[in-house]
Amino acid sequence: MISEVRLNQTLVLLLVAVPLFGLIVDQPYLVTLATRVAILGMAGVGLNLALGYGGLVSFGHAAYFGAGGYVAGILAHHALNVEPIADWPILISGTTEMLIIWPLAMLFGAALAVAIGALSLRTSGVYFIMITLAFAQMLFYFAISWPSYGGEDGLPIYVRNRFPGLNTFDPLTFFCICLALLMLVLWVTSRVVGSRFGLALQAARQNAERTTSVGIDIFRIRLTAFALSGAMTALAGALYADLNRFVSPSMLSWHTSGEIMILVILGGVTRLYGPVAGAGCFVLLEQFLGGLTEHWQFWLGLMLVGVVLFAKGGIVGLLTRRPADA
Amino acid sequence: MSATLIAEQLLNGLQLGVMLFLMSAGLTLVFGVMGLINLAHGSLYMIGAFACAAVVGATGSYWLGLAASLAAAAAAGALVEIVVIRRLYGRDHLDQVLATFALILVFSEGVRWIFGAFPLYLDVPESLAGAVSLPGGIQYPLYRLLIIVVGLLLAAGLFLFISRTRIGIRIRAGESDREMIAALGVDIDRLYTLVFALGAAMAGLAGAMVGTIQSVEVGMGEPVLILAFVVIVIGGIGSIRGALVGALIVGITDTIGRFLLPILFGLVMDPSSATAVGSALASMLIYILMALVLILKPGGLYGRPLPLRS
Amino acid sequence: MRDATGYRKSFTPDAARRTNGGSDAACNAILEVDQLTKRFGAVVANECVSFDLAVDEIHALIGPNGAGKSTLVRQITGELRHDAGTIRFRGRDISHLGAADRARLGLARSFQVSSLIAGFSVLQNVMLAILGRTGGHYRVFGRAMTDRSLLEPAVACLERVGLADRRSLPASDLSHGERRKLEIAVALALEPEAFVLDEPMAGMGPEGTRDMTDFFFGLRKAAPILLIEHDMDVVFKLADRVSVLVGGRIIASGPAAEIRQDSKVRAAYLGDDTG
Repeated sequence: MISEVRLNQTLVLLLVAVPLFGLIVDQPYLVTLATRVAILGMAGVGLNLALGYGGLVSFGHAAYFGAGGYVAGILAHHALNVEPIADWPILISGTTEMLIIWPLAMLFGAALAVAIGALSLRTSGVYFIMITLAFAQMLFYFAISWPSYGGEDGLPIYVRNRFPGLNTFDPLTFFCICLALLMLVLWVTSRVVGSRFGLALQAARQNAERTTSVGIDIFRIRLTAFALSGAMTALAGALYADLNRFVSPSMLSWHTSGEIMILVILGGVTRLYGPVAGAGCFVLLEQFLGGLTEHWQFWLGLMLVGVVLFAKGGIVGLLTRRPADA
Repeated sequence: MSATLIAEQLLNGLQLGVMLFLMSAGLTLVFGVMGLINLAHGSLYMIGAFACAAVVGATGSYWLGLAASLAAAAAAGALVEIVVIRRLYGRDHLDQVLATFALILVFSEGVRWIFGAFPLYLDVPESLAGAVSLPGGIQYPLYRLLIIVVGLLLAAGLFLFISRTRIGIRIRAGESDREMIAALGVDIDRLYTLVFALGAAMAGLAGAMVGTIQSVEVGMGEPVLILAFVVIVIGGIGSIRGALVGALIVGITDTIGRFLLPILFGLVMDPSSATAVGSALASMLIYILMALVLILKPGGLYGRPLPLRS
Repeated sequence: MRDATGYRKSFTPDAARRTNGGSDAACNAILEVDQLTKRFGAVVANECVSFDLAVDEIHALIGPNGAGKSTLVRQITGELRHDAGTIRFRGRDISHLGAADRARLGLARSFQVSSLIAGFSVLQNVMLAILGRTGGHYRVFGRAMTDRSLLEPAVACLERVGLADRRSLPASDLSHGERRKLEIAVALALEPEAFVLDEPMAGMGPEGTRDMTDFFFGLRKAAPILLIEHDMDVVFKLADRVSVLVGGRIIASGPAAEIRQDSKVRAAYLGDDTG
């Protein structure tokens, strides 16, 4: 058994070592894999704030992931075609600057989460799961049937977006950007969870009646957490679009929601680094099983059923034997 | 745009509605009685369709195919219930979501493994092909009409089954008090397997019937599953009556919206952007409807009221 | 105490004279329930219930099982919306407020079935109450667990109920009696204007009950108490006034000594062998 702090350090070290190793042995796809892990991990960290710490089982986080992706894609699309997004009442043009795209993606993700959350947080339990799923699906169908940005075929991004002073085309540089953002998101999450707000949020998860009776409006607490969660996942979505240089409705599909949820649960809910461990495992499994058989999803499904039925607490729980956070 | 065209669309909406009811009834029963959310319900729909296609391919008999869809979906449902689902009843919804999502991966990939990635096509049997004339000069395909009739008959049968038969009464009792029903000496495990298989069989039949007019392919159950969720949220979880009303509302709203909205926008826009805006809005229509129901009646039309939000 | 704008001012016990008879209670009442009615379908849970809680008193609400006590409590605390009537607290109509808003106004409640946050430590349970009272729960930075403005008052509350040395245990590890005490510490942390204590003695042994009775006797100096209780010994030891709820209606109300002698109450509820 190892301590959770040691495990987290090991995880980050591995995440740094894999792409370096990839460059040394001239296997550049390892850099891309590690970048995927960092980005999916970030999406999972975002979901974990709502699902783990807040107890809000959202099955619609693809909405924010995809929204972030489309913000990046649409801005770049307009910048490259040199046509403004809007010319009235003010001129809005596209951009390929990451430093503008990221905050916009997060803002958009948070706004979307507030809108969806305001409706779905009126309910709880199974209703909440189904409603978050349904609203994400609504965006999915909207993206498919709206022809301006590629509709069903998706929207290619012909250049990698830019970051001042860095060559973002270099896979290792792009990986470092993603890793730095992941660490930032992890740090913010740890602060949020340990704060007054985090105390109220976790209290609301465990005993809503009690939390209300001490004068805390749990609806607004939850809505705030949902917005933060949406913003983080949207940032991951923007990076994912940049990595693939492509956005499509599949980023909004419920399979994506399910995958982000798998990462979180595989890693262990309410564990800060759980989603990163989960993303690592998921990408590894995808590569390993995918190399063995075309039907790897069949075996992945069987494994997941096994994890749910027999291994509560996820990977981090299994390795540290520590019960999850209160 | 004529009245017959609208009537035809209404019938199409009704047909979608009764199919959605067959899906939602199982979901809402399983939730109402066992407190379980089953994402893999769409897989049972798919299994029904593939079983039908396989049996029709082997024997040439459509009726054997339909029987096979019922049997295969019920058997698959019972098997999953016994092996996996049963262990999830007491667990929280998060575990249920993840495990049943994993089951979707297993079923979808398993079916792809056996049948390949290409869609299969079922033909409407000759005796049911062609159109019938309805009052008012409407020509409507006989097969679609039959789907509506079968769906409504099944809905009526389900109501009778739940309200009149001994098993139905036990199901309702199990819904209100699990311990009490167990104390009465009813084998609760068998009862749950039965309920699950019943819901699966209805989903399987719906899959076979819809597969006949569309196509039979992996993943066909998922859009229907999400529509069924919308139905249940609108109707109220656990209520069969709510599922019927919700299914008809969703079916008709969706069909009519897709038909009318592009036309309506065409009155004020040029045709190509009217089609774009109209169809984009139509694809969102039932979700907007769901949002409205949530604002006005958060527990659904026929659901129990939710506790006061604090 | 908080004034009407919600700010606290220091509590002055002398300012409020005790009203034992209830004759002039209305002018001193902090909580007034007027003609409250609640129906569940065809079942009437409460019908035209009126009573008040005066400053510096313990008002006990008694009644047999199914009399509608819990429903009444839930309406007062705002977990349940009443169908008709008004609830006034500190002079303002709170009928339209939710449970969280009523708690922030200074109406603290304890739960019949101990309702703590099981995964939180003893200290965290009290800190949460401090947080609810002092606000700032949208602050997303700064560690809550080392925040002295949360920590110190929380420890002080734990000391008052004698749980300070158990502060780092998970609440789920406490004994039944300790959980009851923690409930009280949480209520204290809210520095309420009035307590609603829903069967605080439920499940306690005779000795624990004696301890708690003494404790509540002292607690009334902090704020008036609406006490819902089964144990008649406790009620008659503590209460200044007693109201009797039977079949959803109040059939008698008055000073404890009078209620003990009331023939209607004895017939309907206490039974002739009691008192």
